Parts: sequence; structure tokens; C-alpha cells
Amino acid sequence: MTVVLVALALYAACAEQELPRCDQVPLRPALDLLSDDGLRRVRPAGVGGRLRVTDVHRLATASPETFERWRRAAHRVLDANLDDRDAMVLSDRNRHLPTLPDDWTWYAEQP
Amino acid sequence: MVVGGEIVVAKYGDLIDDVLEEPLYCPRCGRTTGLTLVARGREAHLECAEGHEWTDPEVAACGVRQLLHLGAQGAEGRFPGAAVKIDMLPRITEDRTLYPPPPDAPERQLRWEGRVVTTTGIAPLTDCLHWARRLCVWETSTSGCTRLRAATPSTRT
Ligand SMILES: [Zn+2]
Ligand SMILES: [Zn+2]
Repeated sequence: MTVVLVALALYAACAEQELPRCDQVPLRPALDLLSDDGLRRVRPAGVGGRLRVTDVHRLATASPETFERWRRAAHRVLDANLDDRDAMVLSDRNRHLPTLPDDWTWYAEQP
Repeated sequence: MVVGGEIVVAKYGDLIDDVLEEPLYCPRCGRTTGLTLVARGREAHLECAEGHEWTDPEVAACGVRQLLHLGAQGAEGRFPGAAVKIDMLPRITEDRTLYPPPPDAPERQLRWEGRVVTTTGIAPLTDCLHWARRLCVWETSTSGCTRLRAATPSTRT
């Protein structure tokens, strides 16, 4: 769920600023969105992509303690990537990150 | 966990202006086997059987963790150097049916999503999930503490 929460934080930060590209999202506001449980209720609206049914269920039903664990893990990931640079935007991280196959079959493909 | 033999890393050779593959060795006693790789946070160092410690620019904490991960998967594993190259996150095998969009989504959010798709050709959440996985893989390979011992050849377990 850490990946899902990090993704929702990026998505929500991007939506809040109505940025036309997600790679331009600054990491600081995304990190701030991980300071409470607000992301539990964030869902894509239409053509914006979809969450798995299982993840939607987990977000809706997880105990506060469980959600808190996911939130902390996601916070740690964004905090490490922020690297104490408040102006960091997502695309600045590109050269540090591993290249993974540019699809999302790991998330959406049927087993 | 024990990895076999020498730890070969790719190094840039100034003289030949090309990349060389060479084993790591202790700068004090010259040992190339029985080395221990230690990763702590983003830092990593090497220790030989005599207890000498040193660092090497190709030995980064993320490389140690990736090698450990490959070993745990039963893969032979060449030292990945100073960059994160391996997807260390497990893939969860579960139903991957996608949740339908809500019927009452806010107009403003709908319009923004439409603009992103028009501009980038990719749905924002899909894009964010892909970025999130990469951010998580990087964090996984650069945090925590790991010790990895490279034994003499033929003692691989
Ligand atoms: Zn030595
Ligand atoms: Zn030490």
C-alpha cells in the first residue's frame, strides 16, 4: 500500500495545483498531504486512471492503526526522495530512480 | 547470506577510455575474497577478513541491498554498482480488477484529468503509480542496514 499512498499523494498534489503534467509536481506539497489521513478519500474522477478494487476496499476499511503504518511508510519514501530540497519536483528525481518497464502491468494486468 | 567469490564491479579506466570490470580488493592486504559489504543508510563500506575497512565509489548502499535481494531470489547477481537498477518490490498476486470511476466526481477534477491526458497521453493516476513505484524502489535500496559477506569461491550456499 506504500506505493498506492505515494501515488495518491502525487496525484492529489498535482490535482490541487491543476498541473498539466504529473512529472512537474513538487514533492513538498505531496509530502504534506501525507501528514494526516486525508488521502484515504482521494479517488480518480474519470479518465484519470483507476485504483484496484482491492486497494479501494483497503483504503475504505483499514483500521486507523493500519492506515497510520502505510502513511508513515509513504511519508518516509517521499521524505527520502525530497532530499532536503524544498523545490524538488518529480522529474528532478528521474536520473536517481531505477528505470522500470514503462507500463503499469504490475498494477493493472490480470493475473 | 553468502555470495560467491570476488565482487566484480565496472570501473571507468582512464587509460583505455572505456569501462573495465575488475574485482574489489583490500587496499592494505590485497585480498579479493572473504570481503564483507556493509550498507548503512546511504553509505556503504567494505571490510576484509583482517578487519581492514575502506570505501569504493562503486560500492553504494543500494548496490549491496540489490545484491542481497538477488541472492535471496536465487539469482547469481553481479554487483550492480552505484545505481539502483533492480526492482526489489514484490508484486502482489491478487485480483487486479479496477474500480469504476465514481458517478458524482467533481467537475473541476474531471476537467483537470482530461487536460493531463490530452497533454501527456497518460492518465495522471497511472503516471503517478509508475513514479511512486520507482520512488519506493529507490527508497528501499537506500535505507536500513545490510551486511553482505563475499566468501571464497565454491562456498556459495
Ligand atoms: Zn585487508
Ligand atoms: Zn565496519
